[in-house]
Amino acid sequence: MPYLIIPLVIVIIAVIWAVSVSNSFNRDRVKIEEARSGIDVALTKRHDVLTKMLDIAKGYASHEKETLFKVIELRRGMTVSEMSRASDQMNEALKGISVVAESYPELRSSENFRALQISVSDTEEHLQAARRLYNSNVASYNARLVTFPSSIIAGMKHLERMPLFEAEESKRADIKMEF
Amino acid sequence: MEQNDLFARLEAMRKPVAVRQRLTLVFCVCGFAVAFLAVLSRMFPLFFVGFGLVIAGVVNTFASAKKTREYNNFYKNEFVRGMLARRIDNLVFEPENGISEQTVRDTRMMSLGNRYRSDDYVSGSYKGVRLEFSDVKIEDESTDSDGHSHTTVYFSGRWMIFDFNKAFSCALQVREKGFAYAKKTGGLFSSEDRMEKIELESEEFNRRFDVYAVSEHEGFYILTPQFMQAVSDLADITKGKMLLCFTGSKLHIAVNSGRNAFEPPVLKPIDPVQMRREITGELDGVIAFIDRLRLDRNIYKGE
Repeated sequence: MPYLIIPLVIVIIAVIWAVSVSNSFNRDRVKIEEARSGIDVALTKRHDVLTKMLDIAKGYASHEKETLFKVIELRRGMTVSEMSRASDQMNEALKGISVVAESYPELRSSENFRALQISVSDTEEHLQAARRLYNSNVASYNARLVTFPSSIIAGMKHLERMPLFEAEESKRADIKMEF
Repeated sequence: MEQNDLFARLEAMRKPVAVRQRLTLVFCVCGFAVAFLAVLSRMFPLFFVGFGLVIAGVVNTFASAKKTREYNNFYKNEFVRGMLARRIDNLVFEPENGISEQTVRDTRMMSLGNRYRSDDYVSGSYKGVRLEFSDVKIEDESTDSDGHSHTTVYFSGRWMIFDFNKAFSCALQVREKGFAYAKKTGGLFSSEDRMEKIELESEEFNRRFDVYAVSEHEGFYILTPQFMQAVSDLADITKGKMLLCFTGSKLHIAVNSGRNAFEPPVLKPIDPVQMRREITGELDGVIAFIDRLRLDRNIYKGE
């Protein structure tokens, strides 16, 4: 019997370790979900502000092309890549609004519009923060999935890598210099 | 007052203060030396001569206190004030006052002992950013079981307060590693929001600073990559460990430099060039935080 004690202790330690690693993976997934919902909240807030800006801009430039004022759809439960695309679309809409504002000085000088421009900058900062937090949590989780010995537990639980919130395509594209 | 007259007057006030200080030094050094020799040579009557010299040094210090204070006040009100007014708008400079203990207490991020002193209070604005700063010294005096008293210096340096250009909903602390006696809000039995340690995506920043926040999102919102780089750059050029406290729409920055700013030269003659350089250097050390952290970039908050 005494010769069974050491293997038993090793097994118990291994089980405790496995449970602890498994729980930490579960906690990481919860943190990632929280961070993802942070992106949702930031996107929604940005969408709301942009919609208000679009409404004001429409009042000044009703004869502009309809495509400039295409409404961006946000829905619940979007995937990370869908959220990234929505963010890109909002950036395009903001560029369009800026172009209109350049052409209409009275729009630029409108108090409401200026307040919304400040709001848009702030929502952009919140969106970047949410994105960085999400990516930081995902990068840490993904690294643990492939690092020994936690990769053993990850393999047993069939855990998969989570997607990062990629940089907007427009920011990745080369900037064209025109003279 | 004309500049030449000012420096002449300063020199005239400095000289007797310098003589008194040197005399104190001579009395005390000689007194200790005589007392030490007396103990070694067992000539105990000589010990009292040495003791008497030390007492004379102490009495001399007290006797010259009024002149020293007048010299300090004249230097600060006539020279330092003028130098500050060139760079700081809406200047308020009160050499006898400082940032209140309650203001530091309200951050809930700094241990306060049982002794608090602050002086050389400055407030105003630079590039439209409201600022306040003063020298602060926080100590804790305790007595052990043998009746010996010990003084621990928790903080000695400059405490600065700036309006921050982002609206944040909860407290954040960035502590340079080695900055002792900072504390977090929300202990085990506290009703305050609890601060947790957070890791940013910059390994270098995490190695150099500890960051505590009530909300991880707010931490990432305030500490952008550019902001983190600016904080690292400021830590490189600032003498002393730094503590940044984001609370109540203000940014408090404490630099534990161990130095007292805006003190007049005593043992060295008045040197206008050197004095201007020193005051400018002190002020540059404050406005560098506004410039490098871009606190004047007000695009995230309305007026």
